[in-house]
Amino acid sequence: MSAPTPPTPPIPEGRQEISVEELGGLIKRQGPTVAMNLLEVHGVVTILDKDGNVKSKLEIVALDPDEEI
Amino acid sequence: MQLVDALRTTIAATIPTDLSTTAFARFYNVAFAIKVATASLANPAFTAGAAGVQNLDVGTPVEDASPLAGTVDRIGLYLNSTDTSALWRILLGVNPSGTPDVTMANNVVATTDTVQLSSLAITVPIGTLDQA
Repeated sequence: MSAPTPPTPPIPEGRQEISVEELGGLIKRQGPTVAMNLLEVHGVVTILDKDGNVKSKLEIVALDPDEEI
Repeated sequence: MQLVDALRTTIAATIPTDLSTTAFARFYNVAFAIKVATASLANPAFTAGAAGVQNLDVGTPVEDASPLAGTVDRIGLYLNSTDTSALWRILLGVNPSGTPDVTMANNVVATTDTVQLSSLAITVPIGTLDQA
């Protein structure tokens, strides 16, 4: 017999309950508007010369806060 | 509030699921005015996420071996071949001249170069504990 599920604590005043699905939908709809405040991006762009040698490595630093999609 | 890894992964997985077989990475100048290079993304574009992180699938290089001549300063991830279908726009850390005095990167692309999106990770932060 499994242990009884503990009662769900009340949501503190001023906060709103949201499901993972709702949050996912919000991120998709709002894109960078939400993502800027929530997400981190890291990465590298590499430029190779005609012989395949690495010419430059450019770090990805952020989502663009100024561009509207 | 802190998020457990399973929740972070679930949230992160919602981000790139729109990027399917027709998705593209495009490389632009600083004003998104000149498209220097275009590269197709894998399908799916990202590998299976873990611990709140989604990594771009670069098993097949995401690259353009026939770019236009220009400077690369921005990336856009696009849902399809339409230039108005941007899902994400991303800044590169480029400072080829001016301040600081030591130049660390050259973002000038020649037509004989290859422009490659070598890695891209999107992370849902774990957050911080609420104050008691």
